[in-house]
Amino acid sequence: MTSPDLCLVSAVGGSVFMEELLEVVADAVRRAGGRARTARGRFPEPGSDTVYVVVPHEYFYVTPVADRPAPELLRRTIAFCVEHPGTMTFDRTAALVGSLAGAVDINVDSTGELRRRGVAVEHFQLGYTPLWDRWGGDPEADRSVDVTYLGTAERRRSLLLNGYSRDLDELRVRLLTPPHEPMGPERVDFLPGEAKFAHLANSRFLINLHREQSKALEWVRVLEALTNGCVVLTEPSTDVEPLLPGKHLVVASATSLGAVAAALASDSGRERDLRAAGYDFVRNGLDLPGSAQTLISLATSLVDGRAEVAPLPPLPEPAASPTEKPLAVDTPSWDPRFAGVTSLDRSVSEAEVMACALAVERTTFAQRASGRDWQDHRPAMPGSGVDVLIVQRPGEPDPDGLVLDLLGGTVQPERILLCGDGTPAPTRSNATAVLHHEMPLGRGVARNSLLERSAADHVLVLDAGLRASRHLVERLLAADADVAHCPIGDPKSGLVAALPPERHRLARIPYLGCGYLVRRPVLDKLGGWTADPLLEGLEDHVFWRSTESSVLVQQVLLQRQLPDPPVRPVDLHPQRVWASIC
Amino acid sequence: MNDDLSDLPGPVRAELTRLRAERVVFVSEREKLLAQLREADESARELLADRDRLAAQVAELPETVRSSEEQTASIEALRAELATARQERDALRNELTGTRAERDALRLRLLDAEVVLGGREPSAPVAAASTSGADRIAAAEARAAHLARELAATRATVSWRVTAPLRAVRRKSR
Amino acid sequence: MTSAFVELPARSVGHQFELRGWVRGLALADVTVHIAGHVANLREHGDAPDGATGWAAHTTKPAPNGVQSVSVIGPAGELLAQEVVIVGSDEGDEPLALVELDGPAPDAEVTGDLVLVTGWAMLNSRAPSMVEVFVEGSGVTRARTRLPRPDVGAAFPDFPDAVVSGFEARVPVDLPPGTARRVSVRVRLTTHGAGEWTSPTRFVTVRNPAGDAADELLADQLEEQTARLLERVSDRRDPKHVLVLTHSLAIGGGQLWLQELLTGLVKKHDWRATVVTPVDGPLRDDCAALGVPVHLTSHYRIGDIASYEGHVSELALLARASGAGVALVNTLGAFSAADATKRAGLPTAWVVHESFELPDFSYQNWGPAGLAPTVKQRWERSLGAVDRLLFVADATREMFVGHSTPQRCRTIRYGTPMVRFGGRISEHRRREARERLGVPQDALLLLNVGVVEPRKGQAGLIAAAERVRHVAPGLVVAIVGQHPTPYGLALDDLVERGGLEESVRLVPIQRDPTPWFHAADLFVNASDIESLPRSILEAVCCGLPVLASDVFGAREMIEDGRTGWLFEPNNADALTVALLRALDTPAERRREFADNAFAKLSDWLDPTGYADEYSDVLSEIANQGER
Repeated sequence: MTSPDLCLVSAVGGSVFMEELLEVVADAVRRAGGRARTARGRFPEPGSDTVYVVVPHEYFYVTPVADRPAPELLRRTIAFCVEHPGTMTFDRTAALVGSLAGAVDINVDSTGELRRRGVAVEHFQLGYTPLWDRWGGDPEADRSVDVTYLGTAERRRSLLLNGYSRDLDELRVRLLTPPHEPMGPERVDFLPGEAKFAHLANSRFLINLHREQSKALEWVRVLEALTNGCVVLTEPSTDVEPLLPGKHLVVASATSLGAVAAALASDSGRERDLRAAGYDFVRNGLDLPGSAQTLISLATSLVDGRAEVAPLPPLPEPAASPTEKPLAVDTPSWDPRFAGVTSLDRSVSEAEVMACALAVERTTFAQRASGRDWQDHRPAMPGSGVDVLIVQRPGEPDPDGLVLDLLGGTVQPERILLCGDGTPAPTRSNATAVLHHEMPLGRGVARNSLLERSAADHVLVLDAGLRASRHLVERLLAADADVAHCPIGDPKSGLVAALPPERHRLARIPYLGCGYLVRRPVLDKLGGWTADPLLEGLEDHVFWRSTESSVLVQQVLLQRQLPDPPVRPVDLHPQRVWASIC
Repeated sequence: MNDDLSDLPGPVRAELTRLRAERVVFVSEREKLLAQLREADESARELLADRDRLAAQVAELPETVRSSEEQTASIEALRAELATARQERDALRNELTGTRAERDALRLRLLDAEVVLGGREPSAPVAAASTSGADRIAAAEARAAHLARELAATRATVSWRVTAPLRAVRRKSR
Repeated sequence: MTSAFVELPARSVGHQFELRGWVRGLALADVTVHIAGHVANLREHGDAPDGATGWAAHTTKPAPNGVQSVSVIGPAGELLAQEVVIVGSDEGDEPLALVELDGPAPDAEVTGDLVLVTGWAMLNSRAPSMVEVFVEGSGVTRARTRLPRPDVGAAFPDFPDAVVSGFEARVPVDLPPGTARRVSVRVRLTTHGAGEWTSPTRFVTVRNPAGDAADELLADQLEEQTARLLERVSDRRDPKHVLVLTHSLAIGGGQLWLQELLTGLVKKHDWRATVVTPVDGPLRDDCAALGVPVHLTSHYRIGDIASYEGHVSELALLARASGAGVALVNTLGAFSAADATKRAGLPTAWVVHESFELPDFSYQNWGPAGLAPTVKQRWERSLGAVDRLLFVADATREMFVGHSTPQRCRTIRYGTPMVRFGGRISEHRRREARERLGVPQDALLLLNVGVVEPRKGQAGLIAAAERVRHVAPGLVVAIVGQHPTPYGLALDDLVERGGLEESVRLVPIQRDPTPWFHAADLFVNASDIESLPRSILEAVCCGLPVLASDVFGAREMIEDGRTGWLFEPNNADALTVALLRALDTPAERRREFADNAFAKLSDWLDPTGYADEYSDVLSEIANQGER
């Protein structure tokens, strides 16, 4: 008897990871001697021996009602379960699995839980698949990334990643932290399929952190990494078996993973052993072919379509796919008080409108009347082609530490130009020259004045509340872009400005600020920064809106103190300010 | 000379005496003048020596000016060097502070790990001011139960939260 | 049947919180709910199953971090339900912060050129390891932490660190007299393992009062007057007669130093001396024994220019009349004396022990704007006018060299008679000392010597000892210098609350702490301001490896990792790590450290050495005046 025709169907508009996973299963079935094909969307017409496989928690919630399979087809459908107990998606799966003829589950703990609930389910052990292997097992193969991380941006994990920044400072790091929204093609922070495997094969270590809801090991991610020889460093997890911590992967407390990565990076012997052991284990210790056989047998038993199934539980109608892709709701704003469109909800009183107008007037007047005076402190040091502009506004800490950080960096800037915009002028400074504004005139005005004294090819734009890594200038220069920026560590949000500039996102939230290296011609073309007092605090947002090309250097090279600026027009009358930008 | 002037006539004798007296005066005047001449000679010589000395000094002046200019320049250079050295020193101190902070954080994490391995909690939580021993025992037992509960909770966090209203309803209808 | 149920929150809770639950078979009035050992405020709450009464209980007193018990007690005292809640912050959240910034008040006006930032704080129920103060224009200042706050202790009785939750920072502001400026003030708390917390920005206006123009005029007039008076006094100077002007003859570090110096000068180098001082004390007898006359003057008058000039005039006349050929002025605050001797035409050497900036010193001694601006000018002028400015540490010299010229500034280090121990204490002596002091022979004894005060950071030392006690059970910390000030009493409290009686010994001030030096294994100095603490020298002489805060002269004595351990001041985490590093070092290596330290310093540890140098300096400037 030939094996049945397994048809693995993924939902249109579902997660691309599920599609990839079903491809792997299909491939495994074929290698085990069975027949398998993949499909998308509506169930294809059944052959006489067709058995379908779907991932229920996604398929039935995303597929349009019209495309849902008929009950006869469900009698020939196997549920492919991937979620862990304790999550909402697991509960969905558990509710649906009774309406399908059979079930397999890739996790040991959820298999147990389903069985406990009286569901007949087979454990499907994922394992090595050549579809994912871009490495091939060569221990001498070169990897150009030391430490990488792939996971959506989320507060807890951002805080942890920020905590590793010092430990990882000397290493080559790529942190991919895409926003929590449906992803499409490849981007700098999102790598599907081929690109992801190539990246993993090019990275020495992968840091793995859990999402808010679950503590179970992300098996699919870990398998992808081990298959490509990327050593996995994870925080404590449930469901690690049959992997052995210390042998196939490394488990350490979440706050220490950075230090662990740095330590292992200098212990090549241990690294080699972990890499080899992990690879060997997934190749020889995980019985994917066996599970494929199990799946084939299960399908064989369902071919006659006589299994008894319960009717489908009531399901919500999937929302019509929006014309505009939804944006992640938790992208942190650059500004501590103003978050773009979401901050426009509040009603503004008459007094605030007037106060806003007065503030604008006051600054406009100050721009005309204030004293400005330059003081040279040190000669320029030509060579690197980078000038640094630092503006200190009232309420910001003194930039002495930042200047010393820059002077102690691996690449020395030519000039460090500092402007005390309404803040006291230091008598002694390590900066090249200091411009003192008697009254606060605005960050834009300050930077434009500093720019007049700058002659280098590149300009690094910083605020006084930042502290820099030794490698900041070096790594931003290496990006060789019109504009290069990096994620910035923040004590409250973990990481800010960790996303590339995107038009539709910038139209909703000012999530990017300073901390970028820009080519002088680009600045000249833009005409510098806006001097409009109404836009106080949003000058960089305006800059980013007009940037065309930029590179995100995915390593945390700057830290900022929690900003708490005094009241600005945008705090008083946000609607007016936002309207004038858009 | 014969001082016997007695055989000379009176007027001649008087004349001779007068001439002799004059001669003495002239001689002493000549002596004085000679002395003055000598003095003048001396001072002229001294003045010449002074003049020579001053001339030599004047000749040296450009040298002195140059060397003092050089000194000023070298002082300026030293000042600049000192300023650079101070700046370097400040930058190094800054780096040192950062490195020390990094080292301290790592060492403290190691301490926490050692303490946890020893079976205690890293940052000693503050125990409430319990009164009686029975209270303490009860608290300890309850704590054990809580920890077991917490363990279960970490596996079921979302469903716990999500189903809380359901649990309340269930309790109400019990 | 009576029963009770307590609904537990899904996450950790803060210091004050509310719990819900219900009781069945009882009225709410018959029931009490205890949270964290205190009775909670109970009220009725609707959400309960049928037949049960719902309640909500709110904490009355803040509950500290940790596992807190919750009990529901019935009318007869029977326990109906027992649960626990965890007070704390979950992973990824900010730590629980209890903070109050007492001063300066928002939009306050501060007179003078120094901003005093005070307050109290607790992060996750403990005093923070580090408190940083950001004042615009003055960089970052580390505040002194663990200051006694009995009021906070009373408000938070269950928080053991509440009694030492105070912090204080004195931040000088660079402001010319007669100007005012608006500056921002922010405070950041950090503790390893807990996280950090930054305060909202606060703005204050700092106003430095201008000198009165009339004052300037008066000052000049009075100066002329003094000069005229001085002309009347004949100027007969003995180049081997030194006039010593010191601030006090009471017992204390600076005065003992001077006494040793005088002894050396008089006995070894045949100097004649006269001492002038505003504060009498036991050292007068020592002077008498040396044959040195003592003149008692009034306190240095600095409140207004007329008093100042008057006193300076009197001292100048005294200086000239004394017949001394050279003057030696002791301590930074004695600037009237330095001014006086210079006006009298005496070559003057001024010894500055203290490593304080002038605004900070002025604030501490004479309060905010306590020094009239004209008087302050005189101070700075005197620093530049004296023939020699002498320091005990290079770091202090660097601080003050700007007021004078480099060739006039010199560092002359002092020694200690304890150099006679030669950098090693025999085992026998150690055992004997331990037996006498009641220290277990097998304990690892960490010694701190110095009058207990916030500047010396003994509370931080106790906190560090507590933190490491699980990995170092044999550690005993001895703090010699306890006395019943608020700080000392707070230390007693800390030891008691932490149950640290076995591992921390608070020893009252000792006239002679030498036995403790003999008994110890390690020495620690955690002061946040020190020029060249003599206790470190004494420790080195007794063969004790030293842990020292990296301030001013410390790195001139101790080389981190080779002759001792250095750590950043005002940071309890840094002190803990230094302690761990010292504990990690095996005994053999520790002895090497101590030997290295003694070898490095032995050149100038001989106490007579500096008397020689001073004699040379004084002779040099005495004879310069003749030319």
